[in-house]
Amino acid sequence: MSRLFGEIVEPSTRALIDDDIEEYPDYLGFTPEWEGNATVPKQINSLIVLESNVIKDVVNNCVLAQEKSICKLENGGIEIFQLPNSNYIILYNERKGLNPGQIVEILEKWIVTSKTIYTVTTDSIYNYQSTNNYKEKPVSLVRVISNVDKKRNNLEQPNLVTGLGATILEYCIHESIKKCTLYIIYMDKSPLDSFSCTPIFNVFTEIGIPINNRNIKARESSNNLYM
Amino acid sequence: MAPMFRFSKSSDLSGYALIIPCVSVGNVPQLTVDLLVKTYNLQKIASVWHPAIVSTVGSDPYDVNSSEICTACELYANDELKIACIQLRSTLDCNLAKKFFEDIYSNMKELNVKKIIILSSAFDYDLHNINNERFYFLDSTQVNSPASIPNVKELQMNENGKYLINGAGFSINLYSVISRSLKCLLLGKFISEGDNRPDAEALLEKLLRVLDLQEYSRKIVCPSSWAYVFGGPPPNGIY
Repeated sequence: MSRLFGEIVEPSTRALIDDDIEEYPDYLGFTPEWEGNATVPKQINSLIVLESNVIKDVVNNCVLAQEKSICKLENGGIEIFQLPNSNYIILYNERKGLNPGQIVEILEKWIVTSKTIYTVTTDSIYNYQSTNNYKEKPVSLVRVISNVDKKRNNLEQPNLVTGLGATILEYCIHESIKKCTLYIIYMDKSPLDSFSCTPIFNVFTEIGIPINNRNIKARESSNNLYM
Repeated sequence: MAPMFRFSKSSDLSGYALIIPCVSVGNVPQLTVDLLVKTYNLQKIASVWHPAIVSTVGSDPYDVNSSEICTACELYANDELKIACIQLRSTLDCNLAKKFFEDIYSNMKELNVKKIIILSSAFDYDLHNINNERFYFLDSTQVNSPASIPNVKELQMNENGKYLINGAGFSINLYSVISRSLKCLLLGKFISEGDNRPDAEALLEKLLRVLDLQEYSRKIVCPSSWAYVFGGPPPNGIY
């Protein structure tokens, strides 16, 4: 803040705009940088897209362990793992490079080939908006949006989901591919342990991800400040 | 790449006025489109897909009992009033923004709409006198120009020969692409951030005058999703 002392600080806005850009850069196209065998399998029963740091920790600890990915999209931040019964997991780490819309266009054949698509992401419970007068705000909540069975949709207004999973669901809605279900797990930001991971394990069980162990190592808090 | 517009029923938008809200300060253009859709009962007729649009999914913002899914960008229309509007609920990836402008321009040409109205908003600290002329416009046709509407002023270029409006996002860029060969109007309001619902109502009123639809003026209905403008109620446990 001291750098701003005495200077005019223009107000910021909650709108997602970037006024510094007078001239947008030219679109140069993109080339997928695959590593490994990225051939789309002939049969995919379930394509499971997992994102967020919390999910990644749980998956690496309890599902994949030492499993090696079959292929990696370097500039898209995705790794694809094969599970038994022609099920596949896509792990997504957001990074600079391709945006989710471009990644979905690269993964189009995977999406079309799959019989079912599940996407799982997490968000902080404090970002969850509801008119319910909770006596105590729940520690975690699981919400579903699906274009397979609309009766299951229980994410209330005005909560919105973003990320690769949301982009895949949006693409499926646009292309009338009725097979995508998105799970969003609203969680407390406490360190991961076997208790806080229960909703994640429940969702994994529901969508058929085999859990090899439930003994997750508690991750230390990144700092000791009360934020 | 998937087609940008996927219509849920066969629609002919020739002769329609099409409204596009830009992501701008206070999200006033989006709020205005929300009011337009809800008050004038516009129906969703197409989903819009483009890799530049940051995807969002959620429940129907206009009907709390609906199980429909809303996405980041959708097209609504009212056949009786001959108006259509794109509701853009998210932002654009700046690296693909130019491609988005070109793609939407070519799609607009194919749709054969009568006129395109781009809505925007800008920081009112740019104004020297905040009491009047809180609305601005740019018109590619100069026919039925909104200059005759009270408090609406045409934007002027700066000394470098450019239009500069702080807080208006990509509205000038989109206007300059679309106005190459299509009839296009940029309409906006200078605002401060805060409770921007009155700004949206005021912009809607000017929009109706521009569209010459004052005779259809009716009591404004806010969508149910606006109940959360200031967040949900506090948990009972804090009392």
